[in-house]
Amino acid sequence: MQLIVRRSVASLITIWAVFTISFLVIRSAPGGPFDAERDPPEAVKAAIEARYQLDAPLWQQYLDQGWSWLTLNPGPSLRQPDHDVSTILAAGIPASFLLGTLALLLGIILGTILGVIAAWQQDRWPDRVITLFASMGISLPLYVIAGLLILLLAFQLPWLPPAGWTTAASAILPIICLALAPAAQVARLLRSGLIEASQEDYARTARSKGRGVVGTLLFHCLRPASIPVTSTLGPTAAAMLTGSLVIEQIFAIPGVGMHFIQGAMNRDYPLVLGAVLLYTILLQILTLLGDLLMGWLDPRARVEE
Amino acid sequence: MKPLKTILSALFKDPFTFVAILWLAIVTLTALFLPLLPLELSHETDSTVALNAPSQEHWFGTDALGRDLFSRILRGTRISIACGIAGALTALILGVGYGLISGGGSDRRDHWLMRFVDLVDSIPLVFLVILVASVLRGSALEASGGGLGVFFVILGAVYWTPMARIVRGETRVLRHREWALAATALGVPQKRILWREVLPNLMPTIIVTVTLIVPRVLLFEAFLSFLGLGVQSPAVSWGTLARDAFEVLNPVQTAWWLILYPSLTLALTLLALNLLGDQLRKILDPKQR
Repeated sequence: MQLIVRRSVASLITIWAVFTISFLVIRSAPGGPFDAERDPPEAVKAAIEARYQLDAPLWQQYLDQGWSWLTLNPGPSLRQPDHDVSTILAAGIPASFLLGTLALLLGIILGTILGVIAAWQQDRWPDRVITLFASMGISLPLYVIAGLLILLLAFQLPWLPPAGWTTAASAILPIICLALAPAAQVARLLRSGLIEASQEDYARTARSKGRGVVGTLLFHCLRPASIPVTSTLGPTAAAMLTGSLVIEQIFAIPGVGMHFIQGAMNRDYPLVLGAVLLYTILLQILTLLGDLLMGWLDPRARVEE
Repeated sequence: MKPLKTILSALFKDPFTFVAILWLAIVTLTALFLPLLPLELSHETDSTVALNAPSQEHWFGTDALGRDLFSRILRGTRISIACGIAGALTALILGVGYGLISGGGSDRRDHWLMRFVDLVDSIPLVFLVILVASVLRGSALEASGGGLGVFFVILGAVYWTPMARIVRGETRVLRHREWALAATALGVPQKRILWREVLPNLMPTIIVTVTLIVPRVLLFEAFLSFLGLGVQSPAVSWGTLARDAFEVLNPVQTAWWLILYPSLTLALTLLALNLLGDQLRKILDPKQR
């Protein structure tokens, strides 16, 4: 319980640091969001600045913005003045959430299966193949994998639509692409965890009781072996969030990532700041969840400190 | 540290590592001597040969504007490799400096400096970098050509914390070794011990870490450029080439070569660097064996 409180405080500090840095970066930007337009008359410029409170002193802008973000009322986007930043981001959440959750689920399931097979067939060809694929899945950029899969599954053998987010079929390819990296990560960690656990005394006891190799791996070694997997849930989630930016771009999925990148291209600062904060908060929650899960899996982690 | 000859002969013994080093040498030399190569590096557009498949004339085919993909990949190599090296160098200088200062000082200073690293590590820097990239977009700095330089520094600034952690940890161990204590007893100032005694002993660790940071910087460059927030046209990198490829991706006329060749170049370079890094670690770090 104390751990949760301390972690939450640390998370809040992180979120605050991200907000402060973002605010300073945006404010120190050479040129403003109105640069591209024709030089407006002084009065118009002043009115616009007053509307977005660009004329207040820096510390007041900082406090105002901080307060408006806290109350989830960050005001309108710079590029789409009719829409609130929170509305735009909220519109993207369902697609991104669905994509992320399904990909994470698929990644964990696929990774677990591959990891168990690799540990079971250790040093034989299934293990070699899985290890090779896992190291490729981790070291190759996502767009390379996505590009090859599109060429193969959408164009060469036209089984799946290459882009869009309308039918269930169009969701398959992006979910697979996004799931590959976590699957590779899980498979690799689980393989080494399982191999290590299968040399422990309790695994030998289970084997000598007459449990089969696979049974020992699944019912005795899987739980301790999944501790390193959960401890990397935070980094994995971060990798998936950045991955979703690429995937949403490639497959034209109207999610948060697409608005984020579009906002960054248009220098729509409130929108970008909102997305950065959203991702930061999400990441903190996922990391906290990973820690809780680890405490459940490994009683030793609970009493530590 | 072992003599260079021993390390090299150990590296060349493994055929995979040998191929990896060969590939990296080719890529680096291409990047360095590109202007001297006897190739027509035209980036002129020629709509009569737009989206041509690989042929005798255009080895890797042409892109949507009729530019030769092979020469564009070579030009991209120059910028991508420059990004990788410059980013790793930034991470090297920041990380080693910070690690030495933190690990070589008092416990209290060490504690607070490492808390700062913890804070930096908890920040999702990728998103902040995108924010910075969006701020830099179209600014006067970018127009003057300084954008690329800033970009290099950003790439390095993301990856300095692992280096700082590793160097700090090793420094704290090494400065309590007998030879370091002996030097202190002889009256050698701490700064000199750190610089002249501890740092050379850190070299194997630092070399391995840098080899493994370069591929991460390359990946990050490709990621940003792919999203359109990194290297800006007319400059070319492996990431922007892939971006161009996806823009003309359609089922009617599949320009597979536009995706395949830039991706393959990047993938081979990443694999080679990772292989070399792992191999170096095995050779230089006796604990691993």
